[in-house]
Amino acid sequence: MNHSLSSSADLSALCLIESYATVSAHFSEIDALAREKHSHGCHSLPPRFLRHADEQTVIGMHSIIQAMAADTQDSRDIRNDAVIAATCLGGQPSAARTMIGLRDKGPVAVRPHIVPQCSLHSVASTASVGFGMHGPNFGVGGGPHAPAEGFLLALTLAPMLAKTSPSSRIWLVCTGWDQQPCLDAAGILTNDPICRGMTFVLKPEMTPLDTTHPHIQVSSVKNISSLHTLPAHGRLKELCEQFEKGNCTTITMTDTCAIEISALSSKQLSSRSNKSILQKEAA
Amino acid sequence: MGLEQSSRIVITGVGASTPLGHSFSEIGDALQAGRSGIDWYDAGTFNRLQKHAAASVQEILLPTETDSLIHTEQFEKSSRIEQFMIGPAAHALADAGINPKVDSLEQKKRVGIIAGIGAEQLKDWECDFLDNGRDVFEASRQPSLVHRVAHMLGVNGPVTTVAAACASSGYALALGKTWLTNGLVDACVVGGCDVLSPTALAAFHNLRALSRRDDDPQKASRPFDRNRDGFVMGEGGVFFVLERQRAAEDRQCKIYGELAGIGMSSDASHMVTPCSDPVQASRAITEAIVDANLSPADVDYINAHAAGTPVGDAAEAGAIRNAFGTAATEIFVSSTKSMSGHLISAAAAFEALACLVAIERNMVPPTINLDDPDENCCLRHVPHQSISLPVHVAASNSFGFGGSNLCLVLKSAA
Repeated sequence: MNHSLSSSADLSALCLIESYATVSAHFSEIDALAREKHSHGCHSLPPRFLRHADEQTVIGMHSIIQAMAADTQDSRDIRNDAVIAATCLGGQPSAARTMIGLRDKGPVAVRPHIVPQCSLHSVASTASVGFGMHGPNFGVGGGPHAPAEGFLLALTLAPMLAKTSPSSRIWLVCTGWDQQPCLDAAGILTNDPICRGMTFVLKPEMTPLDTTHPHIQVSSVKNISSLHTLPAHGRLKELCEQFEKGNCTTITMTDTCAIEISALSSKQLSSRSNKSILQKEAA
Repeated sequence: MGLEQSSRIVITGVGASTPLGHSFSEIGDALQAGRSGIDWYDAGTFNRLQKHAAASVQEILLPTETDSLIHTEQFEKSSRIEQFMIGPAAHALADAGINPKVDSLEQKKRVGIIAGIGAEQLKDWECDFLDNGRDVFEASRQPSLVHRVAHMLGVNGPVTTVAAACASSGYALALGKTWLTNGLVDACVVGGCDVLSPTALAAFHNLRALSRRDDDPQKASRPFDRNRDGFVMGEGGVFFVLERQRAAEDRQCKIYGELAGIGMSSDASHMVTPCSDPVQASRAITEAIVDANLSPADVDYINAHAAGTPVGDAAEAGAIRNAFGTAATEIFVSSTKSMSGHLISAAAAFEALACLVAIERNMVPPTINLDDPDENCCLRHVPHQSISLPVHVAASNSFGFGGSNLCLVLKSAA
């Protein structure tokens, strides 16, 4: 048996960045954020939709609303859009409380919501159900590499989506903690970490004509032109900082493969984030 | 686009550790015989008995062929969910004749991994908590399982975890096909794994999603039957190696079948309950058939998602009828979950394996316990016993919480 395999060209799909938004909030603020009305234009979540949602899901949904507000294609139909959610260590506080309940009161104390609300898939499915997006929805990552893997899978999905539903877009939602929550033995939080959410609205472009428009693409490590290169396991906070400085950013995935994210336009950056939350954070 | 976009994507390696066996042939024998892998399972913790019908794996085997990839000592130190990935993934690579450690050094190919795992961290934290650990209280940013396993196996290409609830491992196959089609990798390990755990069993039980039959555990999983009352959880790991057909033929390795078509959609209806409107689920099926350049009548066998829940099975039957139209009356449909239980994140990969068995053996596995077919699930069922039938094309449905729909179309390589 001959075991040699051939190499071939890299994934060369490209996605235009049509909108970008980030949101961050302290853990202590997320409960109130979950109760806020989440709507933009004709898109709104049903009342109390996020009452059982994990903290990262709440932040992720809030960043989607912000990205809708910043969208240059505001009136576009999103019914066939896809959602990819890249979360890092989601569901930890709920998991801790569930396990304490299991230990102290037995299986009857395990809330069924832990299944749909605290898995890697939670943010994507909540966005799909909440906003009526019928394209593929799935979670990606789970660990420190989550945002990088999210970009890679958005570029993986792009050619498939372009083939089956050419006008559809991909909502890439990345969430994570700046520092992971710490809980005591009773499940009470002992710190108040910041949870961060970032949404990119991406339009698959199979025949790129205008690469001056902000976009993401897979490239060979040999061809990296960006000065701002981050490892695949970098924190979401560092990634957001690069984008918000207007830098062209590269994430190295393997020894040979990288994701290039071109500099965002000033319009895209000016509409970032929920100001009140950012002000609280700054204070 | 990549240079070899038109190339077919084929399966050249299979590795599995499941309630029905640890090899392609062992699982094939169980499916053909209509043998159940379900028994009573005690998921109790803290001195509490928690008895469920479940499909557990007694011993996760380290295949001897993989000794060059993973040392036995390293395997034995790994957690249960890690073992469900390491063993089958290593075996699939060995089966395909690929050793990433050697081949990477020669820089001849790029091997990637996509693992479908729905709640890896939850399982890790629970395992640690039950062992008096504190990880769930102070979680660390350690690399996820797929990165740890990639390191052990010497995989040098991109790796990732995907989650779409019970369709997770099917999404892994679908996305792996795209990595190959577009030239990102030369071979891709794809599949999924999951473990039985007290929290998951309690949560699904409290959700009233599990069967509560307490007579005979092997009778508890009854897809499409009028007396079905929920699914039976299982555990296991199933991984494949995907390659471009041209490369596989050059290497003269065994080709189990072609991953010919994929279709994906979302119900966008409810976080838990399947949508009674079959439009989106049938859209995924139709897209997969179109992607495979086939028509509905070309499909010989449908491996249904049908887990045995009252709402889900009826909704799927409607989706199949909607997608296949008049052909639905002719195509044989079965649910292998009646024998294997529901492997959750690994279910779609297991059922893709069942389709490959059907293709190789020209046999349609049965839906056991289908004593009284529900009139709301009117399909061409295969109750109790497998049947012999030429199977060239098989479709496998997977539907998950959060409304994720997926269909894979597998074809014989001939």
